[in-house]
Amino acid sequence: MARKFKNGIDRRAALLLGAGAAAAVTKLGAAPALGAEAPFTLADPRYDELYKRSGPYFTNDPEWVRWTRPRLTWPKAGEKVPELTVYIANIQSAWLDAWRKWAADGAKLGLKYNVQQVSQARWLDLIISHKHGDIEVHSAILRPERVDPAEWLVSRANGFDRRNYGEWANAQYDALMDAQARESDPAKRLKLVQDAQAVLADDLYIAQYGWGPSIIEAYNSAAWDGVVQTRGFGVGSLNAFHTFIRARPKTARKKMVVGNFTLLENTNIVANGNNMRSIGCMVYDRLAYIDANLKTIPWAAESWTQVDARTWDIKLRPGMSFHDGKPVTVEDLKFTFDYMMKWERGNFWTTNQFLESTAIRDARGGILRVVFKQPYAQFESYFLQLNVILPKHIWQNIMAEQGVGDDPRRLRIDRPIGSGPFKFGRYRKDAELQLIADKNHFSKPSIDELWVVVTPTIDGLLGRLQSGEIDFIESSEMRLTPSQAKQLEGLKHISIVRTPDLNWLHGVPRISNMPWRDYEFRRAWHHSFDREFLSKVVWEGAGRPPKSNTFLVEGNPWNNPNLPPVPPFDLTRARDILKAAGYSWAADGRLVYPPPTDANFRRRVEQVTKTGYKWAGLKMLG
Amino acid sequence: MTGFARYFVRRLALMVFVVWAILTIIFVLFQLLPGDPTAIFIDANFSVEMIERQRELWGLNDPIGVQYLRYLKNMALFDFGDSFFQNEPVAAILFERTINTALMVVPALIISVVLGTIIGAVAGWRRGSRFEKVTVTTALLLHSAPSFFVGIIALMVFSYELGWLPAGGMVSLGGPEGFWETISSADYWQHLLLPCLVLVSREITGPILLLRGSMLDVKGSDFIDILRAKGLPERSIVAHAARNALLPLVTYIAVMTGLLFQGQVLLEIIFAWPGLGREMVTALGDLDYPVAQAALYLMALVILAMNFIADLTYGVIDPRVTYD
Repeated sequence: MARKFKNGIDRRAALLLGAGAAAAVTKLGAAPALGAEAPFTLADPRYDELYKRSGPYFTNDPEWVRWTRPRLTWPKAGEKVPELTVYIANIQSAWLDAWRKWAADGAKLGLKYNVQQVSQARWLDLIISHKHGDIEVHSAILRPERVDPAEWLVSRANGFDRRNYGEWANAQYDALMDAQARESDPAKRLKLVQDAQAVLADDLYIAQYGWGPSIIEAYNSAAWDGVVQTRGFGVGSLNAFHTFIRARPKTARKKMVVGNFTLLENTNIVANGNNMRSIGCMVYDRLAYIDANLKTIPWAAESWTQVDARTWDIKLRPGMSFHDGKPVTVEDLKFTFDYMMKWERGNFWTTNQFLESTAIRDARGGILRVVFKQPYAQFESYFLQLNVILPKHIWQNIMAEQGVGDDPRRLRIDRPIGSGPFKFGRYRKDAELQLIADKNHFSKPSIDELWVVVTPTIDGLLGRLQSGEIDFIESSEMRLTPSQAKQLEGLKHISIVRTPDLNWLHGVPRISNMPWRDYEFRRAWHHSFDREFLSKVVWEGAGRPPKSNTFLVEGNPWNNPNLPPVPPFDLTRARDILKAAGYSWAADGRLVYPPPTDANFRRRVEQVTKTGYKWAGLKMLG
Repeated sequence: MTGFARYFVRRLALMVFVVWAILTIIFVLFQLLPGDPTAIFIDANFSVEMIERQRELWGLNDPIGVQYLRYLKNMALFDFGDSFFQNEPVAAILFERTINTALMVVPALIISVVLGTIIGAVAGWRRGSRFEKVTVTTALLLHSAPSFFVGIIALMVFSYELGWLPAGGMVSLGGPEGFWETISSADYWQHLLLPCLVLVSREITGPILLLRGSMLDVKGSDFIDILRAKGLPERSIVAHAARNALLPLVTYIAVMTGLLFQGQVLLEIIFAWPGLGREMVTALGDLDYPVAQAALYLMALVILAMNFIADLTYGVIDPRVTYD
């Protein structure tokens, strides 16, 4: 070894190291010069803001430019439709199973898919930065504030929103989105939302692959009675925690145990950890909540009155107290909003960014007036659902005390104190969390304690349920397949429950790019999905073939029941559509674009949207 | 400077060089990882301003050279910074996780070495006996069985079906906290039993097979014949033979200790044991650079240190090894 040291590092190792370092520097170093070629232009200049001044994204991102430029260049004569890339998070084995079949079906149509599995972090990164290839595959994960229709309709389809991953910019749809955002009359808003869904479906933007999977859960019914099935959430959800409040013990044990894959990244509710969003709302009181039928119900806010289109008065429920014994006052509520407006730019910002001012109208009566910058339709279903009450006496000087500058996400809140139905108890990171029932709460739990215990594997969760170590499996992260449910059915202490779901799995094509810009291509493509394969085979029958291409599926209070049906699986029909639209097939079977001289093809590509709508997004280059 | 001192200094210098090389490789690997560490932390809802500020805060907007030098300095000083997601110093997180891993690994290591040595020595001494045949066959079988598979089977039988042992975790819900309280509680030992036995079932095979082979070599040595000619009882001869046969085990134990600390990811997941391996895998999945880099670095350090100790110890316990 000494000799080796004298002679220096092994040459092969040095070469490898050098190569790696060089690659890293290349990756992170000089970006290729942008703008040397034809500039990106928008059909409607109002969208320039999003594409050209959106921080590190879109035209400011060399990788996005590298991907997009060839897809906005007119295909040459005889050019094949490019390979279509689909990224799938490696934890989503069901998506992969379905896509294997769909890719094989696509090949019969001349489409070549490149389906790649990537880590969850990589998948998220690709999506957020709009570098996810051709189709964004995504499922719905419901949270109380996501019952509001705008959560999906705006974030996934509004042309002005960065989270519109398919970059669809339909002027009529965006106008409807703008109108619904300002419409506080629920009936009028419903109409606008339903109209928007009709445009979404008619223009063939998103492709719903399946509605589901069904919410199938197992729980220890020998120990617990009175579980609450919340539509879209199930019985064992930390997001819809009615069961944990209302379930009654059948035995002397008043300690309920819920198994979950993970626990908390940290215990600061402002730091945006996924589980802290749900568990945090059991410790801190939100202002309104949803009932089992997803109807908004008062929670910490006893009532609210609309003063005008931009103004509401919120009346705090009297007699509440924080877990350290201090009373909850309207001062705390005002402080929370002011604090969020001043510091928070994460999860709470999504709603509080629209807030203009707060003022105490009646301190004794607990009434706070909130004024928004514009008429705000999401007041009940989003603003009141998302916001919690922070104790002013703990949080008012905390930023300076902890020296976190202007970033509240860096705060360390080792023992959260709120006014919610559960007090934050013993916590061992990545192992267990104890939530102690606050018997003075206006919605006091029947149980004494709720424990969340980490069990990182599916087998572990099922095994612990079988052995009686846990009573519920947290249903946001894990639902049973029919075969798993069957496995547990014979156990005396276990009951299986099915709750109507609002879930979906869909694909969002990069519609601003070729070949998706061609409405006829999209029309054919929608016929290439065997959706029954997903619901019957992959989901083992625990799902529904979608009836329409909407985010707000049947059972969602905002669903439009009169949407056109999803195009059926029919490869012959798809082929006929493509043929009629000027497409042809190469000798190897791959689909070939219509010739550049085809005026109809050029018109469709420039128009992007179905005839009758106005495209507002990216234009073809040159 | 004596031969040993020269060797010590040379060996130490080499170790420093290897540490630098490892640190550099870790840094390069993390830079090559596809994806942005902000991705999992940043919700799609966040404003662009927020995303940019987060990158700035984490130093990800600095030139690569600046990031590298800062990283080298921090690692050298064991200043691992704060976790991207946990709002806690990485050192505190890893210290707790390392202790947890040690609480599973160390008992298994001790049992494996002590029992494995005895069984291996006896098997080697009794070459050709039924005991040797059974021992070698069983050891090879256990050595070939992946511990995660054995772990799942053990859980299914002893926890889920029979309910004799806990199905995971280090202690029961609300069980003891703190190091001394934990290790002095029956609850911890009850939870340890299954993962420990699964670990032992694999790790014991190394010492058994090694000692058996080593004993076979020693058994044919001249000094054994001399001992026998002197009329020493068989038990004493075995003891003399075993002492000499133990030498290769020293290196093996050192390497095994290092590997045990890094290689229990699957067992930690299966048994819901909040250890270092699980933390590292989570950190890698989340692109929590500070935690993942520090965990890899610590694991490498443990292996290097154990090898270093083995090299030095070998010379001390074997008089035939000289440094001149």
